[in-house]
Amino acid sequence: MKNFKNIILTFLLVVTGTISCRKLDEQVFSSVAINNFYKSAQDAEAAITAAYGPIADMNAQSCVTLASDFSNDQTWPKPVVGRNVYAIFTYDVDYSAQKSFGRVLEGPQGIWQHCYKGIENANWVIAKVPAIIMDQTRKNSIIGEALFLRAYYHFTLAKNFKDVIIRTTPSYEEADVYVAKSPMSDVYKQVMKDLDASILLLTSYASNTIRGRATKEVAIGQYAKTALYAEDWANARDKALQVINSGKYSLMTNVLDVYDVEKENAARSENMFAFEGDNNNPGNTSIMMGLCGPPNSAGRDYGNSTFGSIFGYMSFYNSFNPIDKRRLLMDTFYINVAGNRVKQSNIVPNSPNAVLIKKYMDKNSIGGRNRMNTPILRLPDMYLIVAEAEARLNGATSLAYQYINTIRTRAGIPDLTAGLSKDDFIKAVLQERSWEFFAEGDRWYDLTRTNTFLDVIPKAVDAVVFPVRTPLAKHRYFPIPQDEILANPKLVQNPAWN
Amino acid sequence: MKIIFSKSAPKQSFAQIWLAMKLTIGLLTFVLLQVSAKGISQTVTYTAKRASLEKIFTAIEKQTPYVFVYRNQDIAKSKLVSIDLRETSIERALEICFIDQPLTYEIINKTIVVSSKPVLKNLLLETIAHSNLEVKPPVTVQGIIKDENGKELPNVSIKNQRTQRGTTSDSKGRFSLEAEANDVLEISYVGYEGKTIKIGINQFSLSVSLNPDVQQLNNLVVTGYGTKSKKAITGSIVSVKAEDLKLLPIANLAQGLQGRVAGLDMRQNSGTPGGNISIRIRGTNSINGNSEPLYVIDGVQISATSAINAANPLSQINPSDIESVEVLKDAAATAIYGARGANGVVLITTKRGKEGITRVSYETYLGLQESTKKMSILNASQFAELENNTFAPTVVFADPKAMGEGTNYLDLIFRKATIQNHQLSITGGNEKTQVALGINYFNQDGIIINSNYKRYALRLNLDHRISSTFKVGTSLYYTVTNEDRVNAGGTGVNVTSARGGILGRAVAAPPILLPYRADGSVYSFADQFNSRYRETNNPMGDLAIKNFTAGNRFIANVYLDINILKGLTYRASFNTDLGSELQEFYSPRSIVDSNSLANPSAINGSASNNSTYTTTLLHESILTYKTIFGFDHSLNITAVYATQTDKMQQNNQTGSGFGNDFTMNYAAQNANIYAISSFRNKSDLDSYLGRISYGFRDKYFLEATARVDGSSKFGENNKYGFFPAISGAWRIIKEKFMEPVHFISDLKLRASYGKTGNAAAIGPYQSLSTVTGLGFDYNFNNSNRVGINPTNIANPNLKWEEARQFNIGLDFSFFNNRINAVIDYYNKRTDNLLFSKSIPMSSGYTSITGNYGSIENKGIEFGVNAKILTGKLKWDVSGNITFNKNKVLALDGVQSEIATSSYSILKIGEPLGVFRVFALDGINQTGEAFLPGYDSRTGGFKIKDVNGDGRINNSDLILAGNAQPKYFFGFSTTLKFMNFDLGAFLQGVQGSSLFNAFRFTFETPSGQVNLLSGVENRWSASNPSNEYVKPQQGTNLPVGNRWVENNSYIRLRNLSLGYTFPKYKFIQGIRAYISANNLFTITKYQGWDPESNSFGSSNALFYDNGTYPAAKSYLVGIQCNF
Repeated sequence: MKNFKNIILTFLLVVTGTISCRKLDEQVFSSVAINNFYKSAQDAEAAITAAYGPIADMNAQSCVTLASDFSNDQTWPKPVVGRNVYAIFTYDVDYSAQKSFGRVLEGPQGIWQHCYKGIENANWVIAKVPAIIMDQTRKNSIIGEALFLRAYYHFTLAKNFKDVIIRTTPSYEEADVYVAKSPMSDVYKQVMKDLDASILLLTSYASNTIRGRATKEVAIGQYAKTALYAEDWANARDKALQVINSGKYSLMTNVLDVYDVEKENAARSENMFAFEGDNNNPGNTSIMMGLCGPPNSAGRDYGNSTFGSIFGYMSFYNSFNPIDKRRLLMDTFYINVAGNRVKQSNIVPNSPNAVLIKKYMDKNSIGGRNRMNTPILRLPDMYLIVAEAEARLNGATSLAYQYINTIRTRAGIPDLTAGLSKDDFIKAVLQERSWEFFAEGDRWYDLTRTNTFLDVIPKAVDAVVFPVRTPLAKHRYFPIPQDEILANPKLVQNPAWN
Repeated sequence: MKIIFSKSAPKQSFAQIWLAMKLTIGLLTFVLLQVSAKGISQTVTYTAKRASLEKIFTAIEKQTPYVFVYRNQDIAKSKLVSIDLRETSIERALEICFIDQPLTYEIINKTIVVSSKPVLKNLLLETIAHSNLEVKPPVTVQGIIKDENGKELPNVSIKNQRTQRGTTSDSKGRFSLEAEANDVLEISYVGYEGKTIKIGINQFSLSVSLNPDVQQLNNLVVTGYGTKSKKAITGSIVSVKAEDLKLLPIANLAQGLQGRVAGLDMRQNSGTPGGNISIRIRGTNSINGNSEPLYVIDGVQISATSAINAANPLSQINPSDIESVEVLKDAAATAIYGARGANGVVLITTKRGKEGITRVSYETYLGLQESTKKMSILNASQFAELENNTFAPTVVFADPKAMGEGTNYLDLIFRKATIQNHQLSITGGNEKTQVALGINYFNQDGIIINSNYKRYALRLNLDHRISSTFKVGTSLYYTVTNEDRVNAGGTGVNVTSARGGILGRAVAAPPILLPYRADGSVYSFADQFNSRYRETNNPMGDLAIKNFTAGNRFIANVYLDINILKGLTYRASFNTDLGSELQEFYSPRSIVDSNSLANPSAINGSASNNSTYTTTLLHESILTYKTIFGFDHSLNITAVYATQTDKMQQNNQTGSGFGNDFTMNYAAQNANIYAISSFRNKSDLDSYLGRISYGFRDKYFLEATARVDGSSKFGENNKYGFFPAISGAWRIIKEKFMEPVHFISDLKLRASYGKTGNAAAIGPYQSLSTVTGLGFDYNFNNSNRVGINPTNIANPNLKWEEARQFNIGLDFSFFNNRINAVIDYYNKRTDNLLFSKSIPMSSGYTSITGNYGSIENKGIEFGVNAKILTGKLKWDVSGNITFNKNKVLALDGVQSEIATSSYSILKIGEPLGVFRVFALDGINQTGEAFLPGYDSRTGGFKIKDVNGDGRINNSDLILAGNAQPKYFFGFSTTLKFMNFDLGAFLQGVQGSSLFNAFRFTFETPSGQVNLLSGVENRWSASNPSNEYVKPQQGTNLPVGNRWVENNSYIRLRNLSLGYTFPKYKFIQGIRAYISANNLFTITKYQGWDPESNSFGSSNALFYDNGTYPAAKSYLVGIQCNF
């Protein structure tokens, strides 16, 4: 009996003695503590991939396209049952309405949030990868890509919100997160500075370039576009020329092929940098196919799961020269599953004038998962930047004409009328850009950077769905998301929106 | 002549206290080993041939603590003895020595008195008379105390009223105390009726038997890590006993507690069988954290989750197994649970076996349930008219009248549903082993088709006494729950989210459409009426979706009790809570429209299998020391060391795109697209705690509690927290000046102050910065690559929420305890609230979890129960009411108000759940000017321009009520006459508001969905309504005060009539009853149920998208005891 008691007591002593020594450090299973990451080449690859990731996010719900395209004079959103999309998708942003409908990430707030996530992820790469022991060439490329991405995200922010916060270091602790915004010109300066650095580190486009990654030429092209927006015409023209003259990229012969999903790899010769969509799972895909296809998945050519949510304005469709091949990227009817032709007036109950957009078709999609790559930077942009920047510097010179006419020729329309004045020529370039880049999230920024939207938008109406559109001067840039203003005492709203 | 007075035990009690203190400091086991080695023997080993008794007595005195008292002339008469004693008990040794002797003996305490037979009684008197001592020596009275069955009672207090000295009985129930004739001894023992005994002349020994105090046994209250008599309680604890729970046929324990405990606000957020309950003890104490109390089931600590579909421990435990439920409310009561006590603690004790006759009981009830509410919606012709109005000038229906009644989908989703419960309990045991066995089967169909809840429960409680030192026992609890769920309401916070659940879909479904095809299959709306209504779902399709959850839960406790010394016990307790759950989901192809079905590339049919395994391991070493010293002082010390580990593993599979419905979710590999994910986490908690309770003369009580909790979840700068509390009670009734006040039978004042923590709000890893590969992948070379990035910013300062609570309370009883009442005032402030603070998105993150906010809850609770009639007609009533005021004192340190949704905000100075909406002021009539802004049109709502700036925007939003009740109450009454009993139970909540999103959604005439019948009275040029706007496609109504409704209610929870049959042979009793639950509800609330909240146990979001409505039920039941 006594022995038994002693055994038990000894046992208890041991039990309590051992467990009281345990540490209260946390053991992480399904993740890794940050201090143990950014250590190897593999980590560096995963980290740079995560810096690209927000591009996929901006295209998953397509805020990067829709926030601006629904504000412009080309496309409109169809009302959905019980949900006032007019209030949500417009230049007159009402963040609280978007929030109440749970649609914030489809509008400008999505751009804000995703771009800064991309910047943060790029900043970790820029801060941590230099210390990783790995192949130097690849290391340079990774850092170059991160610098390019940081520049792209800052540029995207500035063209949407004007003055924004510049971030060049990661958020290590809570105190790091409160930063004031900088003037747009400073943002563009930072963008160009990052691009200069990335151009030195990136390698040129080649046949073995990993598809989807930024190249030296992409960075130079981004520089040209940034310079255009910063109205640094000489740099815009010269950098764009540098890309064209590098000979690394070329225009596809048939403009329709650029949007043929079966030819996406061939299209890389022109589609320099794009969101890489794919139908694999897990994988990234864009909602544009689903939104642009006819309602109820009724037109199989468009895709296998489509909703009929985005249509072109009739006025925009009519602005094309009927022989313009690019007009074939829109349609006024579709062939339904039964093989019947469904006319414009029957496409949606809302408007008899709905024009379908055909830039995002994938008839082999798996449900809504499609392979379309959404263009971010295409070679024609370089041509039209040269044309515009040259004209702004030197008027409608032959160099300027040469580059716009290349694009027109490819579209199957005659050369631009010769002898235009500088202003008329620039107008023509902007019109050309509208035809060339419609539904690619570009047009609205042309209208805002040139401050012409006040004249253009009121004319782009639909008798039924958008009978009146009256933008104000404040609509040139989107307001900074209200959530962001509230969370950051150092940040003040865009004055026009106060 | 040899006279030896009994030796007095030298300062024994002091030594014990000192020892206990030493032990609590932590030298526990070493000391134990020493003590056991030093024990003095009670046996004798001695061998002799023909020895004198004197010689043998000397040997015994050497070996044992016993001494002999005798007169030489007596011993001289004794015979010589031959003995051979080997570890023989003292009793046996004496028996042997006194065989055939002319002497007799008696053992009194440690004294053995030997005398010649006839003079025993006068022995000591004579001794004293002949001693020639000048000073009268102290006279010792020896006694023995037994219980009602004749068993010796140890630890009984005996006090001499004259000398105010006292002692306690030993393990054999014996005691000795100085006393002389006419002294009065007070004898008292916890759980027994006290006695006073007057010592007679020449009386030196006495035998007392005590009767159990039924009242007091019932007044034993379970506290954390121990029990206490009610009179000694210094904190605020409400105890609900099995008898109270037994009054009503309840589906779960939560229903049994609702309205029974002052300060406990319980809402059944959803009427789904087995559905979610939210419990607030003394208000909501957190914003982002969990505000549910900590549950402790037979010592196993369980935190409740707050998701709308999460099962609450209270709904998993079979109510028939409950012995008692204690609700710990103030800091004095909860500080023993330290970092997890801030939201209050609910202690659940299950029934254990008792020594005696085996009792078998069988209880059952059967019933029928139906919905409490019928909502009126537009019929087909009314809907057609509405569509024409909405899409004018387009004419959708040429002749709306011709559409007739159409289909009422609400009628199709509801049913009358059955409920049944069977419970078999067996308890019994003998002196050494006691057992309680319970088996339960519960099956409830939901009032919405395709919903069901089944529970199979097995409970086994076993206690076995190995010896007077060791006792082992176990509590095993195993439940299996099977649940078919229907998603009743959506969980979004916008005008469309109410359409996410079956209730909303049944309202929204156009009544012109058909539910089924001719062959009985679900007729997709996309296949009807030229696909015009494809964006609404056929509710019959929702009912065909499988959403089945099978859960297993095993809660086990194994303990070992060691009685180390008198009053000192050690308990080693090992607990585990093992949970596993498999959620199966399958949405079949059969409900998909024909167009999608015909498309080989469409994704039709989807499945998921989600399993969750949780493991909690908890070890506790509990050391308890109880003593009474100097008679007036009682001391109770508890020290605990505990370690806990929680693990969770989730495995999820999802698949979509099935070729057919044959294999459903059972063959996920048949899907075109599938995905897997898994997740694991773990956390550790180490705790050290102690409690000292001191009582003086049963009049003054003082208690100090402290706990140190160390949690792996806390930030590295705050791994350990310290949670102390102090409390006191004064039983005024014991004071002299109360003696003349006869109508007051008890009066006690309590006060407490202390600090507790809420750590339940912190999940593992929240203080760390980790990286994730989720969601930041990208395609390179047309294939997907995983990207890894940081998920958050580290917060090394992260810690528990900290609640400081002051409580003062009064317990009083009148008229010999016929009326008992308790009143408490509390003031509780929770600081360092865990708050998911929004940080600028420009940081790359949206929020950081830290300790930022503060909340205050203060209130008054009042509870009373009264036996109004106690004669042939018995009438009992009881009731309680609680007034609580909740106020936000601080938020994230940056903002003074934070929008939590488009209709609600958090605002400093306001309670949680305050609604901020537009003030609607009728409808813009023809020709009336209207302000620019929200939905401004003729026939649209007129919104008050609060700031008068001539336009309507967010600055015109007003605060319009909040979700916190002003007060809530419960009232029950039972009448008994002859063998009949009649009971009623009323419960209510007053002064709270709820956003009725269901009505908001279905008063929004935006086209293509059906609406509530009120919309018939919609605005038109000829019907200038001020209630319902003019229909228009895409209408987006302002979030207005029109939908912030008062959801106060009074509900007749139960009405039951029972009859008890007289005892017959082996049948101890049979009670049969009929009963009705939720017979009526008085409320102005227009939604399905005033208790609803689509956000479950959320602290700040109160929104009703239409949750599963509570059912009205009629039951018949029988309770048999054998």
